[in-house]
Amino acid sequence: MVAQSTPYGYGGIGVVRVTGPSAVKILGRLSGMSKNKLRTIKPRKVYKRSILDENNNPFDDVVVTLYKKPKSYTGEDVLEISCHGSPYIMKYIIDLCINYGASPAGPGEFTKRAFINGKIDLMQAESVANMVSASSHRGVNIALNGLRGSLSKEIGVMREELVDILSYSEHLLDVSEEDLTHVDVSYIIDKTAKTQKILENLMKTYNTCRIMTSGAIVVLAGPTNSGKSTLFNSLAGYDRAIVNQAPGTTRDLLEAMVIIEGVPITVVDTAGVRVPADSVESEGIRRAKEHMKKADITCMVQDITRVNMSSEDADNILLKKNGCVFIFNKIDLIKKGLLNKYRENFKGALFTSALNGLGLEELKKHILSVLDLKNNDSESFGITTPRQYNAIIKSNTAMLKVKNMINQNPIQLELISYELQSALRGIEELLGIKTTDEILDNMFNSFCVGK
Amino acid sequence: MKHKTKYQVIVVGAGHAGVEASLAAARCGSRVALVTLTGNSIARMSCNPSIGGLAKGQIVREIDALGGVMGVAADFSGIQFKMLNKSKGRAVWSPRAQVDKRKYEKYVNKRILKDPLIDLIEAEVVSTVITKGKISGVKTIDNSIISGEAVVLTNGTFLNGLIHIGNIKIPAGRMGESRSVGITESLESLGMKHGRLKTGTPPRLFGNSVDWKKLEKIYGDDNPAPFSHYHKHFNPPNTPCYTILTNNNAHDIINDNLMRSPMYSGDISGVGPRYCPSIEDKISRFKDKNTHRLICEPEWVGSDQIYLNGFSTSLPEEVQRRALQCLPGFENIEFVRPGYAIEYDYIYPYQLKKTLETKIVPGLYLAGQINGTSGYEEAAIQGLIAGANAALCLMGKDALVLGRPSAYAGVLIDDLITKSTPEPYRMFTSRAEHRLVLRYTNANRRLGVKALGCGLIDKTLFSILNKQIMATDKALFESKVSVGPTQVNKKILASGEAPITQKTPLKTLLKRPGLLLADFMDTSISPPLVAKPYKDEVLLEADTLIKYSGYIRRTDKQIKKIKSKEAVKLLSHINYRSIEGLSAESKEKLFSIKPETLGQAMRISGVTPADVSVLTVFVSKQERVSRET
Repeated sequence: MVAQSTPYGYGGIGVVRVTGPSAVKILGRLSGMSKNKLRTIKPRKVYKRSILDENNNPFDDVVVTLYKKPKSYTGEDVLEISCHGSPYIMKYIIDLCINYGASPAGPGEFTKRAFINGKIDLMQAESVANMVSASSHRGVNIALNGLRGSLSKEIGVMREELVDILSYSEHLLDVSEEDLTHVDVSYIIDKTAKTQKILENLMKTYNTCRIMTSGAIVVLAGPTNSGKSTLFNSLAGYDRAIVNQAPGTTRDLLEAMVIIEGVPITVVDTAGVRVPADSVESEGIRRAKEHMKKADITCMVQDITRVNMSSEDADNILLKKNGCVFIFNKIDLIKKGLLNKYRENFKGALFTSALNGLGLEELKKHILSVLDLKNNDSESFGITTPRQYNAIIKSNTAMLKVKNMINQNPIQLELISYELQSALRGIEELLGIKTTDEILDNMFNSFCVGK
Repeated sequence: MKHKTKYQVIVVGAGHAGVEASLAAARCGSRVALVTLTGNSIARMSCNPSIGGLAKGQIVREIDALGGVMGVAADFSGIQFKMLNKSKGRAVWSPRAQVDKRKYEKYVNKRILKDPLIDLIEAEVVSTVITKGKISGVKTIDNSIISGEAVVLTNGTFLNGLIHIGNIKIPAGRMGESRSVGITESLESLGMKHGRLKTGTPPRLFGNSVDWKKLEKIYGDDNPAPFSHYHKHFNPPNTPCYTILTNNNAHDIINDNLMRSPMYSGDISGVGPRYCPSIEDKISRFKDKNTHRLICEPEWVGSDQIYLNGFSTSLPEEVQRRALQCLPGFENIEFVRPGYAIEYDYIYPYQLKKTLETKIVPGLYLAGQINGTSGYEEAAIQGLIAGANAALCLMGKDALVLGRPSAYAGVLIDDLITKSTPEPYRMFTSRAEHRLVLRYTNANRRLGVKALGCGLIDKTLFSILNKQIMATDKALFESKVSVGPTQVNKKILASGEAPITQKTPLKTLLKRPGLLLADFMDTSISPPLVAKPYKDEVLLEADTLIKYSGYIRRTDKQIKKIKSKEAVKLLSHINYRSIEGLSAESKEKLFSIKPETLGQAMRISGVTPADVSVLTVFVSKQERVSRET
């Protein structure tokens, strides 16, 4: 399999990678080295070689490094070619590799190979993606810890605990009363409480870790001509959006990445909501509404000179929606006394003048406080993707049921086992593994099963 | 010399697998030869005098729903019945009976002799006979040939059997019976791989050497539940067993002589079952336990021969005796025969299909301990499935294949052919991932229709099963009725539950673990219209369907999900080694096991979810190619 590892476009150098059992053979074909010569290439050493074109004429001088399996990223033989960074050169080398038997790799396929070959687990694979897209220092930190397996380790420990509880519960089910010297449900109670607590804590890391690695989404919404695009530009720090007095200027969604105190935030400017003038605008409004659902924070931007809502209306909206902020913009256009009245009336709302930067710092602070990011070291790793989050929720729900059922009388042990199994399945999905005969093995090895 | 009759199915071995195989093949209409070393040890219970037990009780129920003999024979010869696991949850309730071994054997023997389609032949089979790549019969030690179109081998522990007592070694298939030589080698020459296993049995005591006063009596249930579905009346006796506890003195003697046990001295190479450890194993592995419970079980009514459950051992006889003499009540203990271990050959069961037919030789089936299982019940159900399939195949009918979601039998066979356990395989409820729907009370519903379709039960028996199912459904229907406080609060309070204040559907009330459908029989539910022994059972099953409805629904959903994987067939000639993206371990495992479906591939240990997705892609690609060409 072959792929370009550096981004498309012109660069000083570009990297092409080949993985698979034919990597060495392909190096031979590319550089015209004989079998004997290839044998002299030592893994993990850097060699300067020429790539030959189809007519065996030198095409580009490159640096090659060979990694032998299993000590490589994918766990297979990997060839890394650093060539000159012209898109043409890179395309040409990739085509040569394909001619020599490689197949073109899709996105993420090198990491997928690493997963299949057992070099990394699913969560580590996800951390690779987080690492590549990281845009804040803490994001990098969380991703690196994920990649190095801190999260996998924590979850692995929990999996072992679960296997242990389940083994005990299965043991109780598969030993008849005659042979059971004592049934100690407190063992299950204690361990269940412990495991459920870990799950709950992991769930809590999601908000912070997700935002730190993939960024929070802040959507600017509200009626047309309330100054959303001006606000957007001042948050972005440059004139990204076209600003015009005419209402309905912004029709599509615009995104800009802002870092506020190290937190990556994607600010989204949307079309103002009104009765649309044409089908393009109505599509823009539909997209705006769609995006508000995904938002961590929705800023309802109002033109303070044209407020047509009461504070009750505002409260009602706030009650209905999490992470909603009211912003009254254009405060430069009204008198101070009136402004104070508004401040009095709409408690918790923000007042800005996007045009001359008034209230912007408060807005940024407010955004951070609404995001409610945890700042302690224990959360230098955690769950970062919805897939991970859903799996943890599944396990946690099951463990809560176990906690509840264990105190029932008569105790329905087989149902407790059932829930423990579904908790374990959640964890297995998370790691991308399966627990096959471990439970039975545990039963046999650590417990005496009789008649 | 050649036997005159040409049989359709030849069954070799007349243990629990052999008799069920013969009877099942005959029920399906085949002419059967049952070949055994000695005609007087048919359906012998070589080890404990009991049938059923955890997970095994469910299997006996399944055998019975499929028309097998084990349940009826156990009910007929039972001397004490007990429902195990009653304190844990109804899906794992399992019936067990102490039986009179002699009465049990006699009953089965009669069934075999009475069956007009079965010929009992006393002979020692030494090899299979293959003609044009297909089985055509078996050869006996005097070089005569019994011809048949299908052969079921159920040789138990007899293949190159070797008994160990201390350092004494006796070639035998069972104490006092000669072993069987030649079959392993004959299968090996066909290309089949085999291994060696070990199992053990405790000493048999002379009853009059025990001081019974010092032992504690244990009885069975007052309200016994039968194994079989088909009785009109069921009034078995309730004969006590006796328990005794080991002590430190006994443990010390065993510990001091550990090296004289062939298991520890290295004389035994076969792998023994971890779940049924010998007494020396228990003592050396569970050092913190200073006592183990033993149970004295009579082997037949009025017998002087006592089975000492829990004391399986291969220590020298003298050590066994000295250790037991330390226990109060056993001071003057005498042995009918000492405990011993036995090593025997088994054939790796991954070489079998779901029908228990070998993949290499069409028409050759293996069942029972030869496949690496342990236990009468595990052997019997395999015999039944193999015998039925041998007959069904000859008639060109659909095979009898039970899935993991429909029977413990399905779990057993799938585990055998997929995992090839390295130790004797015993059934546990934990092995059945869908155990909540595999209850002893719903074997009739799970298997009745299938049994009728294969001809394993006739219409009369089926109508009995069907009546029980209908009675359950009727109780379920009646439970939809709403009941008022005055009607039921007395009952509710009597069960220690909170009373109701308004009309409530009975179904809703029954969701409470403390309330049972049976409690409302006179007020809201009419008595089930089934024979007396099954009235309680029908109500219990209906109650379970109500209480577990949420879990049953979730289980059904999982089963549905797996079914789609089970429907994807994997052809036997797939070259797994050439599939890119599979891990090296998976390639080898898939290559040697050659799973029949994607579902089976998933269950092979070492095959990861990632491998399964690679396989899925591979199969769909292949299908596309084959569709295009």
